[in-house]
Formats: sequence, C-alpha cells, structure tokens
Amino acid sequence: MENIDFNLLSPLILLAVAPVATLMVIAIYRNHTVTFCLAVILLVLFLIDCFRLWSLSFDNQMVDDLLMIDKFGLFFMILIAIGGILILFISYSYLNNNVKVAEEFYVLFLTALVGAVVLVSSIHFATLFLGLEILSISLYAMIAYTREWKNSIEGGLKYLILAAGSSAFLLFGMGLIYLQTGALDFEAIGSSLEKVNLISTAGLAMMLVGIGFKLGLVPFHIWTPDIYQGAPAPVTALIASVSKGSMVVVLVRFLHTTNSQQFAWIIWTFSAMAIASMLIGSLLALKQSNLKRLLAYSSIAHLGYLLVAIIAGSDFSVEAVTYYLVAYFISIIGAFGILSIFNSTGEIEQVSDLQGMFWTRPWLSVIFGVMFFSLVGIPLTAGFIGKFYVVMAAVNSGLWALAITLVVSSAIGLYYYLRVIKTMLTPVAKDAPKSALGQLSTMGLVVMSILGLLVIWFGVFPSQLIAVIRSIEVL
Amino acid sequence: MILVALISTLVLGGLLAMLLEKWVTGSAKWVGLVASLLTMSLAGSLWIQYTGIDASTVSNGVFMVFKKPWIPEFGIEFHLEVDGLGLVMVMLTGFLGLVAVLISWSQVKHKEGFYYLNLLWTLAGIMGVFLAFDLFLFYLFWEVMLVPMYFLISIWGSANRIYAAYKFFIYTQIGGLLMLVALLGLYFLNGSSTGVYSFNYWDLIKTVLTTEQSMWLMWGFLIAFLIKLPVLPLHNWLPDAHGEAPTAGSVILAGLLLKTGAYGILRFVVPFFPDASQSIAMPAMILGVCGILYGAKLAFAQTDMKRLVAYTSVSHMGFVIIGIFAFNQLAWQGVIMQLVAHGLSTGALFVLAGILYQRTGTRDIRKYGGLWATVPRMGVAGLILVLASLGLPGLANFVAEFMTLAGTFTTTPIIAIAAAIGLIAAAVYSLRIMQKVFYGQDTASEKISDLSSMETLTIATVVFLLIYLGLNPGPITRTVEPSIKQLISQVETPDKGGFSYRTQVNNKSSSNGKH
Amino acid sequence: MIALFYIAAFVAVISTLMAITRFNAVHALIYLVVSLLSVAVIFYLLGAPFAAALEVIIYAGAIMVLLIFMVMMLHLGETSIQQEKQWLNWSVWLGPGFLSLILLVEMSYLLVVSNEPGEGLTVVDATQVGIALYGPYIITVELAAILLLAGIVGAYYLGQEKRRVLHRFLNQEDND
Repeated sequence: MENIDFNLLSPLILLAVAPVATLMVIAIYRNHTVTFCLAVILLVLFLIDCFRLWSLSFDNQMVDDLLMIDKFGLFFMILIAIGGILILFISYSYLNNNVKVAEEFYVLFLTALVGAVVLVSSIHFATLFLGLEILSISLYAMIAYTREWKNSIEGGLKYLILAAGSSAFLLFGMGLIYLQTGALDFEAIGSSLEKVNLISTAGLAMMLVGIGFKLGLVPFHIWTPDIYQGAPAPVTALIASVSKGSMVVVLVRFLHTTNSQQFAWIIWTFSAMAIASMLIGSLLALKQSNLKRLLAYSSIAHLGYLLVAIIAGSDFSVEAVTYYLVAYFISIIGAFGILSIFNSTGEIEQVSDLQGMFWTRPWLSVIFGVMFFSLVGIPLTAGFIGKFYVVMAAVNSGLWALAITLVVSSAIGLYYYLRVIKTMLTPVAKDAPKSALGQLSTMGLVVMSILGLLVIWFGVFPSQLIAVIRSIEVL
Repeated sequence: MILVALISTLVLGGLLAMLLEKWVTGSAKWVGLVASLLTMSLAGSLWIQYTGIDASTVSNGVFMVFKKPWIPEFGIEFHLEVDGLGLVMVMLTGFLGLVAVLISWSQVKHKEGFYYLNLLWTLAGIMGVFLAFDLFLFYLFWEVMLVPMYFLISIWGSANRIYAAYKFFIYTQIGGLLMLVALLGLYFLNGSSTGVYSFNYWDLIKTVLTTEQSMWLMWGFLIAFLIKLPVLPLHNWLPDAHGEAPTAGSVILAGLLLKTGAYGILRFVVPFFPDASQSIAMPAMILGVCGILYGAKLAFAQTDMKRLVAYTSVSHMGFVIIGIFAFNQLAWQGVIMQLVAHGLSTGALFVLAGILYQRTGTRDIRKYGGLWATVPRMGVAGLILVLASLGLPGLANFVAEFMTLAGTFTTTPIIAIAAAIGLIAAAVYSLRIMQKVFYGQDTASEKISDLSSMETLTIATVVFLLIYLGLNPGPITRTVEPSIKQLISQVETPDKGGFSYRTQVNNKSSSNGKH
Repeated sequence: MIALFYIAAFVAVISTLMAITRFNAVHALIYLVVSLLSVAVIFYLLGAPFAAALEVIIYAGAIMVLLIFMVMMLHLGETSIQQEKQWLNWSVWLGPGFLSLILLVEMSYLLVVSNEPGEGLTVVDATQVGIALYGPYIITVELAAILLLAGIVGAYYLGQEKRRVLHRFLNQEDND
C-alpha cells in the first residue's frame, strides 16, 4: 500500500474517476451532448496519460501483486481507449435516434472500460474477477439499453444469466486452484502448479469453461448470436472488440505467467476448441440473413483464429495475438459502426437492407467493403496481415492441422462475406420502394472513414505497428 | 523503375477511370485505353531493351531488378524482377489487356467507371504475379487479382453469374490459402536452417528440405497452381467462370489467369521442389492426358459457345501439364509457346463468342448456323482461330504442341502418344464449332452486323501474331531460353544437391522447424 | 471437530438438495436459507467467524428475505392467497425446522463447550479481514466500489420507467 506508485497507476485512477465525474455532471445538468463531450474528453485524457506512460522508460511494475503495469498492458489500454473513443462517436447519433434518456449510457460505458483496463493489467484472481464483473455488469445494462425493443431486453437478460453462470464456473475453478496452490496471483500459482493432480486439473478446466463462455468459443458459443443481435449496434461493437479483446489478453497473461501450456491436455483442449470454433463459426454464419448474427458467428471463428495464435505459444504468438487484435478491433468496430450511423430509428440488420448501397452511397460501401475484406483477410487490409501473422505463428510452431483448419474456415468465411458485398452491388429494381436507410450522421461518416483508412494503412504499411509490437516485452 | 510503372500505371489508371467517370460520363473507357496502351508500350520498351542485351551476360536470365524493403520485420521486400519467361508473360498481359479494353468498348454499357477499375486492377494483379520475386508479394498479387475478377464476373456477367463468381473465388482462394501455408512452411524451414528469415525467391530456392517436407510443401503450392491451370479434378470452376464472365473477363481468364498457374509451377514448384516434383511426374502427366481427352470430350458435348471454348481450355492446358512434367528444355519451350498461343487464340475465340452473343442474344450454338453468308469477316476470323485451336501447322499452336510432344516423347513416349490422340479430338470439336456456327442452314430470322472496324483490327492483330509466331517462333523461344535453362537446371544438374545429399543434410536440420 | 464439520456439511447438502427439488418456490427458498445457515456454521468451524456472520446477515438474512417477499408478492389474486395459506402450514416448516435445529444444537455446543478452533486452524476475525481489505487489497475494494456503481446505474436506468404497478390489495378488480 505504501509503495504504490501513483505515477504508474495514474491512467487507471483517471479512468476510474471518469464515470464518477460523468455521473456528477449528469446530476447537475442533464444533457446528452454535454455528457458525450465530457466522456470523450475524459477518455482522451486517459489516452494521453497512457501515451505519457508509454514514452517513459520504466520497469514492469507490479502493484501489490494485483495489477501489472507494463508495456503489454499499456498497449492494450491504448487500444481500448482508442476503440472506446471511436465507439462513443458512433454511439452519439445512435442514442440520439433510438433512446429517450441517453446520459447513463456514458457512465456505464466508462465503467465497462474500467473493467476492461483492469483485466488487461490483471495478474491476480481478485482483479481478474473484479475486472470481468465490472465489464459484465456494465454490459448487461448496456445490452438492454434500448428498453423498448424486446430483443434488447431479452439479450440483456440472457447475457446476465449466462455470464453469471460462467462467472460461477470461473470462481469455482479459481477456488480449486487456490485450494491446490494456496495462491491467488498468477506467478505464485505458476510456481506451485507443476505437479499435475486432479484438483488443479479440475480447477483449470473449470476456469477454461468460464473463459470459453466469455470468449464465445465453441462449445460455449450459444449466447453470442442472440446477444449480438439483441444489443444496440454500438454495444455489440463494444462486446466484440473491447470485451472479448481484454479477455483474450488476460488469457494470454494467465497462460504465459502460470506456464499452463506445459500441460498437454490444455493444449489439446484449446486445439479442439479452436478447430470447432473456426469450423462451426464459419459454417453457421453461412445461413444467416441477419447481419449482426452473421458477424456474431464470424466472431466465433475469429476467436478461434486468435486461439490458434495463443496455442502456438512461441514469441511469435503474442505478437500475432496483438496484431490480430488491433486489426480485429478496427474492422469489427467499423463493421458495426456502419450498421449504426444511419440517422434513423432502428438499425440496418438484414443483409438485404444493404441492397444497392454501392450505387447510392459509394463511399460508405467502399468502407464497409474494406472492413469486410479485412475481416476475411484479403491482402492490403489490416486483417490480412493479422491472419498472416496467425498462420505464421501456427506454422512456426508446427501446428499444421490448425493452420489448415484456419485456411478452410477462411475459405468458408469468404462465402458469406462476399454475399454481403454482392448484395451491396446488386442494384435495386427501379420501382422498388425507396431504401429505408436514412441520412448519415456526418460524425459517424468521418469516424468510419478514419477506420477505413486505418485498415488500409495497417494493411499496406504494417511495418511500424509490427516494430511497436515487437518492442513490447511480455510480462 | 519500369517494372513498378508496369503495375502502377494499371492501378492508377483504374482509380482514375473510376473517379473521372463520376464527373465526365464515358471517360472511363478512354482512361482504360490510355492506361493499357501505356502498359503495352512499357512492356514493348522492356522487350526492346531485352533484345539489346546479351542474354549470356546476365545471371539467371534476370535483366532488371527493383527492390525496396517493405516489411523488414518479416524479411519482406517489394521485389520485382524480370527475366525472359517473365518478359513473355508481361508482353502477353500487356497485349491481352489492350484487347480486353477494346472489346469492352461497345459491350459494357453500365457502371463503366467501376468496370474499368476492376479490369485494370485484375491486369495489375496478373502483372504483379509475373514480376514478383518476393514470395509474400507474389501471394499478395495472387490474391489481389481475384477480387476485381470476382466483381467483373458477378456484376457484368450473364445470367448465372453469381454462382459462377462464388465458385471461381472460393476455388482459387482455397488454393491460395494452401499456398500461403506452404509458403510459410518454406519460410520457416529456410529461416531456421540459415538464420535469415526472408521471402526472397533466391533465398528460398536454396532451402534444403527432407523428402517428406518437400513433398508436403510442394502439394501446398501445386494445388493452388493446379486449380488455376486447371487440371482435371480441380477444373470445375472454369466452365462456369468462363461461361458467365463478360467477354473481357473471359479473355483475361483464359488468356492470362490460367497462365499464372503454369507460370507458378515453372517458376516455383519445380525449382523449389525438384525431387518431389519429379517423383509425381508420372501421375501428373497422366492427369494431363486425362484432361486433354476429357476436356475435348466435354467440349464436343457443349451447346453453349462460351462453355465450349472453356472446355477446350481444359484440354489445351493438359498439354501444358504434360510438357512441364517432361522436364526438358524443348518441352518447356513448347509449354511457354502454348501459353502464348493459347492465350491469343482462345482469347480471340472468346472475343468472337462475345461478339456473337452481343449480336444474337444467345450463346446456344444450335441457334446459330449459316452465319458465313451474313458475316463473312467473322467467318474468316472464326475459321483461322478454330484452325489455330486444333493445331494446324503454320499457326503458333501447332509449334507449341509439336514442341511439347516432341520434348515429352524423349522422356515418356507413351504419354506423348496418348496426348497426340487429343489432337485428333481437338480437330473434331474445333470443326464442330465451324460447322454449327458458320456453315449449314441460316436459321436466324434477323440479319446481324459483321465485325466493326475496331473489332476487325483487334482480331486481325491476334491472327497476325498467331501466324507470325507459327512461322517464326524464334522470338519467344529465344527469349525464354536462358530462364528455362536456369529453372530446369534445378532438376537436371546434381550439383545443387541430388536426392541422397539433400536427405542427409536434412535429417540434421529437420527438427529445427518444429517448435 | 471433524464430526461437527460433517454434520454441518450433511445439513448443507440435504437442504440444498431439497431446495433444488421443491416444486414450490417458497419452499425451495426456505431450504436455501437453511443451506446458507449451515454454510455459515462451517465457516465458523473453520475459524472464520466474520465470514460466518456475513453469510447469515447478508445471504440468509437480507437477500433471502427479499427473495421470499418478492416471490410471495408476485403471486397476485384471490386464489394465491388461498395457496399461500396452504404453503405456510405446519408441515412445510417441519423439514427446515428440523435441519435448523441440528444447526442450532451444533452451534450451541460450539459456543458453550468447545470454543477452540480445530487443529491447524487460525481464527481470522473482523480486524484481520479489515486490515487485509484496506491494506494490500485496497485496489480491489475500490474496484468493487466501481462494480457497485455500474450495477446501481444500470439498475436505476433499467428500472426508472414509470410503469403502473398494480398491487393486489390496492387494485383488486383489475387483476381478475
């Protein structure tokens, strides 16, 4: 307690103050625009602080065995902050159009980010669990935020029940591991987990179940499509990017620190889950006509790809995970962003809603196409380099079966991404009723353009980003 | 610099066509024409430059290099090179690109800006494939040429275009991704044994592999190229894609895209995996023969003009496979001759089929007939192209097939004999085209117009080239000779490590690649 | 000591089994209260009186009482009043009462006869818990505060809509 370095903790403190400050302002003066601006400003401050810390040269430092402030975590804090700011921009017009009372959204949004930031720097079961719960609790309310829609309430309730169930698994697993090792922080667990016995195995297995749920990996994926569909599109973007991303980071940290990859069965289980996720995610996406469900199934496949990189377990693998997450963040926020930036009540949900969009809104369609190409991994997009990195990590570790499955899954994935792009290109019949798509919000379009250019930039000139990622010492 | 210009002219031309069309309607085709003319002249200047130098003085037959670091973290460079083989392919690309733009002139009526963007970008991708000497870059161009081609088929194709476009994309994408995995395998095996991680062609070619490793990696590459070529069991996408694509799309598909497959085998598979490719030579050649006969049989059974021509491609590409796996210089020169001749003749046949479709509104050859009387110029063009396709002496295709078969005969006479039967089949289906389309009773009620002057010019140029190369194949065979010698040396000479040597070396280093 | 643990554990298992097998929600909840009480006894046995007290006050006390009230209030109408009377007859209390009696006896024994923790156990009292929470774990306490904030804001937003709540005593005829 005495030796807490407030300099290192300052981003976290700043972010923790943010929701409280926002709440205060709402209590004094309730106005959507003011709240929005405040939230953005606070996040930008957080981002600046992260950058400040990044530029300092400091040793990785633990805070009371609970949190680890290092470049790895900072990198993801920056990513989360940027992703958060982008999603906020998307949310503003969306909330204006769809919700009567929008201010609390920003408080919940900020608390969710606190949870995510705690997760990415967590090296202790207590912070892992608290971070996860802060994130989940905020998400329950955000998923159900558009209360008038039945799907939204249903999604929130489903997420509540399933996430609580998975948290129970996670907790029980943690309990069993504590019983075996007598420790709660990853490093101490790692040093005393060498002996394989039933209790520690059961504990790890139950933790895997819990983590599998949060990541939406097969066979724990069933909640994904319903919640993606039910949640308001900006919230879905948050779940797909920040929520899953921070969980991946904490998984990487946990496996890395405790050296759990020494257990063959963990590798086997992960491999089976990865293969199943990649194939089932892609196959189930084939039949979807709802864009959000389609993206939900594709996200299952994407998490499978990430798992492949995690399994690889070499130096490459962390780099690959990091790059892939960056690419995935940009593309998925972009894809969900486009669904939500139309100035109209409701969202574009069906693939058929996009018909002919290329000829009426070429610029937006090009961005959308770029996002999809990035998700499917077509060259010259960030997603391609990400996928390339993952395949590289897999091949480097000799995981041929996983690499081939990834290839097959990508090929299946092509089909449904292309279907959407094809729909955008199909002209609408002349006598058809005017498209239901409303006007675009200018702010949304600007954000989308930035995202589109980022996808291309990281796809064509990935060198700088790779250099930055390489400079991160893990843990 | 000229190598970069070859690609960037097409890329920028495509963008310009798209943007300019927004402001000035009808300008896209002019931009397309200028860009393709420029590319053609750049390729021409490259050719002139090449004939000016003594081939024996340049190492590996490569006479122009462009290198810039791109992603140094992975050892990826923006690395273009051109040698004799590349030059011939670049010339073909430049020429057929021009043909494709010209033929689209009157046929493409809607969304021209986007059309020319896709057309030129496909060409840019193909150009890149022929020039890239960094394997990452090669893979990138390999993928890049697909996406615009997909749009070409799926937007401007005929009735069943969407299905065809999917099929085309997914087939080739699976191949491409398998190639990526194999590519990375090679990259890491090479990197772990030499300590230098690089995608450079000349580094990777030196990779020492165990028999088993080279077998697996070869299949990764080979499947991608065999799908593109296509070889018998993997040919399924081709008739659909060719049949449904717009005319220019079919020309590019048949004339250029298929050639990337053959080029890939010649450039990568054989030099990288000489032993493994020799060990599968016989089955590959048998598949080639099957392809020749099966393609011919199906071509004969088609009623759809474009599908018919598409199946003749399957048949002709069988010769390419046979020639490649004969592993001798004569056969390989024949193969490249075949690539050029087939590109020209089949490209022109698709042009003709496209024109017929545009005029009559049907591709069913049973509904044609007796067209010679109304459209004599088309008839003459058709006759020459069909004769070229069946391999009449004096035309380029004959030279190609003759050289291929003669080369093959020295190594595996039985295959050469079996393949020669395909020539007879070619005569049958080729003459059937003539018979059904131009001879017989004229059943059409409406008279159709003959070739316009621009179309005449386009086809006449192709015909001229076919005859010229048929009488004097020297320019092609001489140009590719040094690079073929270099490539084939990987298989023939034991100094780079014979079978036993490689195996020994790799027993030591094989475990390095595994984690 | 071991025997006492097994008795409490036995009660916990039985009551939990009963809780999840009852058809009637009220009956299940009553068993759940017993289950939580027995867990509290186990905590006490293991030398964690503070955790035991929390278990009783928070879980068995506050949350369960709330839940039971909620379940009973959601059953609206004349018929449910009749039902309620049936639920709460003496036979319902018999099982839970018996189990609670066991716990009571055990607890009295512990308090009066043997007030020593078991072998190898150290008693963790409220002071130590407090020192741990506000010492090395101060960050987690802060995080828990944010967790509660998120929960409260979420609940406030989702619950703030003014629905007309019809209570059976206030607005009887509307419900028939």
